[in-house]
Amino acid sequence: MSGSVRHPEEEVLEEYASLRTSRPDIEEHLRNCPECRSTVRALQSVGKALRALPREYPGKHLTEAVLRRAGIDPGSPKLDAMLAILAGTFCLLFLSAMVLGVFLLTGVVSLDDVHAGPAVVEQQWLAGWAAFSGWVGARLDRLAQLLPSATHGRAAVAACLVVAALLLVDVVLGRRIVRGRHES
Amino acid sequence: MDRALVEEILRGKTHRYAVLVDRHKDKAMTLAVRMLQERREAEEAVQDAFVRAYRNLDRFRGDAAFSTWLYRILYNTCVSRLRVRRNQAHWIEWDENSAAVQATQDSSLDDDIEQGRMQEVLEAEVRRLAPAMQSALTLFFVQECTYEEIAAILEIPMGTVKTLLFRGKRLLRQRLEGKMTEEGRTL
Repeated sequence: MSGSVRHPEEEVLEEYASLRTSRPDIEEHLRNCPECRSTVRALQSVGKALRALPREYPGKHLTEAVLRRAGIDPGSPKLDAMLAILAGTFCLLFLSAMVLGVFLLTGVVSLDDVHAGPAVVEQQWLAGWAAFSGWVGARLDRLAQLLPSATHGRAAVAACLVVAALLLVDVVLGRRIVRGRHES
Repeated sequence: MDRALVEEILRGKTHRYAVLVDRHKDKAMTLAVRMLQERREAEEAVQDAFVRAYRNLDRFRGDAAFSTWLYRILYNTCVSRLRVRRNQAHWIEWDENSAAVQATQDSSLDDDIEQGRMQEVLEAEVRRLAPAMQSALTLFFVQECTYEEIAAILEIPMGTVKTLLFRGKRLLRQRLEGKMTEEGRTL
């Protein structure tokens, strides 16, 4: 660093290059000093290269080895499996309740049928399925009138079905992951 | 997040320690490999550090991040292993095979430069730095620790952390510039 211009200390430039915080005084100097600009650029290149250095990953059994060495019981796989089944059952019940709600609202199944017992509900359910399909078709047609195009209505129904399917996949995968973790 | 998990573990849900290990093992491994430069030993050091951390979990006060506390344990574990290695190296100093290994390492470095793989050259140059400097650079650039956290991990004043980072980067810059000038390139 030469000439009558007072250059910032290299340590200050290094801190500026590393922390990348706003320093108006240094930035002002860098605008007019190609020498310091080049120093900062070089320091930033080193920093960038250091950040890009490859990460190292331990073997997949490290966690188990640590737990074993520390004398930790890795938890009850049965409890995890039970929780997963419970969560899955809850999701299915929730979906069933939603479907039943739709049937009740549309009149396919009445409250009397519900009180009469599951066999009657099932009978009515099957009998009402065709009516329900018709009802869905009619609603889609109505949606088609309300929305700019029928595609939107179908897309909305499709989105609901996708969400429900994802929920089920999530439950199934969650259970498999829990089981896999314990098996490994 | 870690603090709540530590409290859970201390309350008896010991199996939850697996979550803490899973969360920090990759970064811990990177630090250990940088310091020890040998994967198998690094993994052993990481295991040791996690086990020691678990056994002393009740001493974790929570005034710093769990990662800072863990890295300090890991750093000390690696330093102990390096000391042992240095003592062993004293006894094999005259072994011809060890000289051959050194020569092989040097020639592979030259090969890398010839092929222009600067990232690998940088890695090799980082390996040549002093352990404390390597650790400071790894903690800052790879683990994204702050100056304060690095000072707590290495148990040195913050001014020394800044100096280590500054000197480390300057050394690397000079060495890389030297290598690149040899290749007719600029940094």
